Amino acid sequence: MSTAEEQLLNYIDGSCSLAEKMAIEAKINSDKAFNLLYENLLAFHRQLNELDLETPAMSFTRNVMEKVNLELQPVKLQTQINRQLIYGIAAVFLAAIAIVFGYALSKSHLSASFSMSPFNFSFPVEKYINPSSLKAFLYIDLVLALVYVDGWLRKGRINKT
Amino acid sequence: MHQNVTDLTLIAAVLNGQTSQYEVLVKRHQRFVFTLAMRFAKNREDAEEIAQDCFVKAYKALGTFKQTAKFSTWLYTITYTTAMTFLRKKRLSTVSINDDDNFLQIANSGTDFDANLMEKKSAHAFLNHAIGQLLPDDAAIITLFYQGEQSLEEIAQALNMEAKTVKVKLFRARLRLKEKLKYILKDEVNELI
Repeated sequence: MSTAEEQLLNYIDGSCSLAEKMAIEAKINSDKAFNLLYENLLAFHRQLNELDLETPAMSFTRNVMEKVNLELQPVKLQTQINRQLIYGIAAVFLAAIAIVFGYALSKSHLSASFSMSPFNFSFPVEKYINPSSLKAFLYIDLVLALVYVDGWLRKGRINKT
Repeated sequence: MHQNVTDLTLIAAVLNGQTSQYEVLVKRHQRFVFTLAMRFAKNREDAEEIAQDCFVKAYKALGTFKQTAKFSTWLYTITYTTAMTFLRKKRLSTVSINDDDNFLQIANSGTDFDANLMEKKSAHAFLNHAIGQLLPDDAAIITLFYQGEQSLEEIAQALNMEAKTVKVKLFRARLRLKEKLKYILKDEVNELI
C-alpha cells in the first residue's frame, strides 16, 4: 500500500486534516515525483466523477408504478403506534405491580427491631381484591397480551418488507 | 416543475394518500439505482429487475423511513441489500477478466464522428468496464462515492459499515480499479487518465 497514494487520495477527497492538507500541498510543490503522482490521481478522480449514469428502459417507471399500485398505500409508522396506548399499558402494569406489592406487604407479618411506625400496612385489601376485580384484572391482562402480540406481528411484517 | 420539490415533500404527499407522487421519486432516482444494480447484476435485464424490486420495497416501507438520513441514502441501502440477496440467489461467480465472453465492445452510436467525444466515451466505457470487473462491494463503494455523490458517512450507513472501513475499502477499490485499467489498456492507461 503506497502511503503517498493514500495521502494524495485523502487530499483529493478532502478527507484529511488541515495540517495534513498543508503538508501535502507543500510536498506537491516541492517534490516532482509526488506532483506527477498527484496529477495522475487527480485525472483518475476527474474521470470517475464524469462517469455517466446508466439509463433503464423507457418503460421502467411505468413498470414500477404498475407494481406499486398493486400494493397497499404506505402509512407513516407514527400513526400505527399510539403513544397514549403505550403509556396506558405502562400505567396498568405499574398499578398492577403496586397492588400486588401492597397486598403482599399487608399479608406478611414483618418483624424488625426498628420501628415501622411511619408506614401503615393495614390497608383493607379484601375490600378491593375480590373475585370480580380479579377477573377484571385477568381480562385486562388478556387484552394487553393481545395488543402486544398484534404489535409484535406487525413489527415482523414491517421488518420483512 | 417537480425539480424544486424535495424528496421529503414527495414522501409526505405519498404517505398522505397522493401515491402518484411516488412516480416523481422513481424518475428522480431510477438512473442511479439502476447503475448501482448494474454493478451487481452485470446485465440490464437483471439490473432492471433489482431496481424495480428496490423501488417497490421502498414504497412498501416508506412509512418506516426516518428522516434522519437522506432518502437517497436509505434507497441505496435497500438497493444494496436487494442486490446482495439477488446475487446470493443467482450465485453469480466473479467473472474473470480473461473471459472471452466478457470482451469489451464500444458501440459507435453516432454517425457524426467527433474525436473528442468518442475519446471521452471510450474512456468512460473502459472505466465502466473496469468497474464491472471489480468485486461487487468495491464497485458499489466507487459507484456510491463518485456517481451517487454520497459522503463516506452516508456510504457507511448504506452499507452498514464503519466510515473508517469505507474509507479503507474505497482506497483499496481505487487501487484495484487502476490495476484493472492497466491490465485492460496496457500502456494506454496513462493516456486515458
